[in-house]
Amino acid sequence: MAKPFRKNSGWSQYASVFVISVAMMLVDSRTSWLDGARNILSVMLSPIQGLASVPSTIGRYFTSTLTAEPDLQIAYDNLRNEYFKLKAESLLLRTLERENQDLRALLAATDRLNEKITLAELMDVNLDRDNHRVSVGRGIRNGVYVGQAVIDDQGVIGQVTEVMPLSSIIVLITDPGHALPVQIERNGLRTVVHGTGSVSLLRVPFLNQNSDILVGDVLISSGMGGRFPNGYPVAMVTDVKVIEDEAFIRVTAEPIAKLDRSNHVLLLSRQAQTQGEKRVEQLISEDD
Amino acid sequence: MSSSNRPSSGSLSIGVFISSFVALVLTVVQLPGWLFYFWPDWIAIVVAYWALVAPKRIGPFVGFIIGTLLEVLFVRKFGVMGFGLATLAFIVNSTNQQLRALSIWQQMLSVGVFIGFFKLLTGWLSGMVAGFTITTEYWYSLLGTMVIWPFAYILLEELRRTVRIR
Repeated sequence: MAKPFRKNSGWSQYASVFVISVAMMLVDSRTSWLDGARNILSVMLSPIQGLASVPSTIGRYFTSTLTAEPDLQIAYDNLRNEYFKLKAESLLLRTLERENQDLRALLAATDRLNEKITLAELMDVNLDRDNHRVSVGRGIRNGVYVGQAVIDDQGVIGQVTEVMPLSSIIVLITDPGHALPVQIERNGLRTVVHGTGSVSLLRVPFLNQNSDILVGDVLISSGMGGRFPNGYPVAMVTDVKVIEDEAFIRVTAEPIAKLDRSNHVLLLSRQAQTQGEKRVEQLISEDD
Repeated sequence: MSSSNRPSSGSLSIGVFISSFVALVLTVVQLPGWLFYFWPDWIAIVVAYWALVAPKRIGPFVGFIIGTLLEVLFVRKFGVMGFGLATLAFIVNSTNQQLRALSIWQQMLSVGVFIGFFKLLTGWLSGMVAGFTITTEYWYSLLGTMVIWPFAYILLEELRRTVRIR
């Protein structure tokens, strides 16, 4: 006697949940009406993230307190050498930059956009293994905005897709849904790099049989699309396969940035300073 | 065991709350690389367990709420995980009498099938909503989930006994 009743209530509950879920999916994928609720709930759920980061914090504490002094000394020496080398290189870079600016002025080209760099630390939580995304501890409060490019000390990591009050989400270039306009450093051939869902594999689709691309070529961001500033290394070509009957060649590449290992990332934001830059910003926003 | 002993609903919600909280923490905890893809879907395990042992009160609606919390934590589009967990709870609810009659190994297999269906459904839906693609690695966690199910079941039974839910 209880069974039909339960069955009925189960079905009606399930049907109402179905309707609510479909409504939520439609609303949330097309509008940003639910973002307020998400932000409030995400602040309420932050204790969970705090608890989840406890094991790795403890681990880091032990590794830092139990490191022997000679190791520290070696690490310190390495860092100091690196520092002086970089310092010397940056001296040279400043001269080159000025020279480049003068050349651009001669050619009457617009100035290169200046990027402001914000350092951010990855949060010790494993966000989502199905999508390649990480979260960093910088949010609306630190001026992070959607679409910001993210790099590490080697190359491009990804871009900011969601911003919450205290944290934000970065989608990595290896996410299956992510594509990034690039060009080959050697000859300037422009193409696109797609993520595959594997952390060390990128696809370079739509290249003709006669495209000039070789194993070992470095792909740098081309600045097309206005999201990523140009000139940052993205990937290195690992395999070029030509198959007779196919229109396109199969090219795979490997990300240069340490996607799964870096703890600190840099968020690039554009500073609108000169008139020319403002104009470019405007053009980019009109494009969007 | 039978419906004559009506357990207090307070202790049941405490049990569900504690176990979902632990499952949410376990879901976002940082992992070494080799474990990363095989890490079980803790939330699915917890929802399946409660839908199995308390089918009258833990159903699609509770699954939906837990799924929505998971979506907030994962910063995913709303609706997908909620609906997926509601479906899982609904399937387990409606087959709970058959599931209880099975041995723990057979139960492990059937729960594996149900959670596999849950993963297929949510993967397909997030493909429509957020452009997600199902990869081979996506299915590895199903193995982890099935391996962990008997242990999780025993642990949760222990929890249920401690907070006196019948």
